[in-house]
Amino acid sequence: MVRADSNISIVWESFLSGDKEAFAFLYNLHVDELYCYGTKLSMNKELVKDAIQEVFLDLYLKREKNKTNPENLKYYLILSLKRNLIKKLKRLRKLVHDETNELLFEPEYSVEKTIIDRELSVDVKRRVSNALNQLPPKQKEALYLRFNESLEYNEIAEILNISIESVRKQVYRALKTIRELLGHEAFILWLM
Amino acid sequence: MENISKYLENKRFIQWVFKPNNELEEWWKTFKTEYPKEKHNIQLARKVLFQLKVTNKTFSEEEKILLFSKILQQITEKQKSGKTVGFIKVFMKYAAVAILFFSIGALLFHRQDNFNPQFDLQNLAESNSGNEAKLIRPDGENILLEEKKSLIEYIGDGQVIINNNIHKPISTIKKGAPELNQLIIPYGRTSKIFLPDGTKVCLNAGSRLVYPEFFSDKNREVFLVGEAFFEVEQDKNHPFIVQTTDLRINVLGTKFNISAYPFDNIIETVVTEGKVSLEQKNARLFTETTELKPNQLASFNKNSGNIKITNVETDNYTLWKDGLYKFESTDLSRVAKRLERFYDIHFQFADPLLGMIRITGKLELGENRDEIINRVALAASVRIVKKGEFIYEINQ
Repeated sequence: MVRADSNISIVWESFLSGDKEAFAFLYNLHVDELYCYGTKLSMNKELVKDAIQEVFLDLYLKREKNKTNPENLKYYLILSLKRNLIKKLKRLRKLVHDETNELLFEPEYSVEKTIIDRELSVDVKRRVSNALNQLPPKQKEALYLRFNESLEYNEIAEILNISIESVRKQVYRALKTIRELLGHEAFILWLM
Repeated sequence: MENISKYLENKRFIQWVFKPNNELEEWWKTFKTEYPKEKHNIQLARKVLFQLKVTNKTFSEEEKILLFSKILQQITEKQKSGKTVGFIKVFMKYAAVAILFFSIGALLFHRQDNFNPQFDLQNLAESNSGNEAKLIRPDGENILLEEKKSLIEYIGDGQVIINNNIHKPISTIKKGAPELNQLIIPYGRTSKIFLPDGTKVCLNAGSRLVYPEFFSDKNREVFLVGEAFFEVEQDKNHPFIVQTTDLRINVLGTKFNISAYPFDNIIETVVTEGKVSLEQKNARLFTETTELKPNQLASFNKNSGNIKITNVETDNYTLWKDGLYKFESTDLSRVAKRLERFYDIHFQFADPLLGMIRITGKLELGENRDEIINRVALAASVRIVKKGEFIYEINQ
């Protein structure tokens, strides 16, 4: 696979000057992340793809005005995708007279056991995923952006439209819950 | 929660769990061997984070290419405003496929192996030199450099002034096959040298520079281990080349700094004036030649072979030559390393993660060692306790 982070500023400069290969490189680099994130906001795959298309089209056509630091391109694209999806969904909902404007983030926590938690009992594993599934969508989204996409707290706050402090709190609370549910079991088994 | 939350907040840790790669794998492996007591916490923190992994819907390669071709098509439509013909659609589809594949290869250049093998032997003779600053001349003479900051200057005809003493040219040298000098500067010392071509090199603590008695080849080549700031004398017909263990730096312009310490995983090159280009050694089939402009920093990772380029404040990388050290949001571990080299001392971290604290400031490195260390402690809000003549411990 391409070395993702090598020479990103060089690629970015060629992209800004209109180079389509550089554009293809950036597309390749981020399209998977955008698709994964988008399909958790909306189950409608075609809608997500349309949104991604528009986000990249905009990125290219308006590149001269783009002041984004290439290191933060991921954040920039995720934010653009979300705004685009919100716009699209509002339009759709007007048609069906739906009042809710909120986009609900619905991830599926992997149930399969990885090597790392093979010593966790099925019971504990289920309790953890139950607890996670019951979290409010915004909190799930914060967790996703923080860990799966490793964004900064201020970036997440911007995307979720809440304060940095409350992002921090929500992430901390969720981690604490998991830690408690893993409980002594994790400890004891490790000591043995 | 206490003992694992530092990991849960750590970017490098998060990436290791969610998007692992060889580099991170290695980093954390080293970390665990260095701090065996942390092993359990790391295991637990990993387990907690693993619960947050989500399943992703897959997006096939075909779908990706199709979507990209649609984007390109729209771009062409927008640019030519309306003139769409049927065949463009087909054409674009294939173009997109081609572009997706070529974008990988086109950014890489084929490598030429032109590392100067002359320096390889010197390279292997790694520091059996002890703690003395010295110049080893081609005839085998060892000249000890007593001063804390030594000055060496070639003044033509093979004559060299070392700390105000004139040394005669070496008589055994046949013209045409220059032999090598080795300048060795241990921790706690620095040196300034004017090479036979007039190029000025400031050598930082813990470094060595290998250079010929005179430059006769097409290229002016030197070999560096450690850190040095170069002000290269212009000579378009004789390019100046600095070779390090893993990188070769071709100088197109004038002033730049290279940090290539053998125990650092990263080789850093910063340009303040002119241009340099970097070329990798022992590379895979494909490798890049990277050009570096003023105010750019190239960080070359020895393990992964990646070069990362960022724009920086060059003072942070070059002021050491004037006895100043400036840093901006720099890891405490890095600042500590600097001081270790400059003063020939050692820092122990009570908690290794303290090394990740970022600090900003400016230090005038001089005789006042303990005062400097106190100021660093203050900036990082840590306690630094003197444990012995040359050993300090960093605490919360």
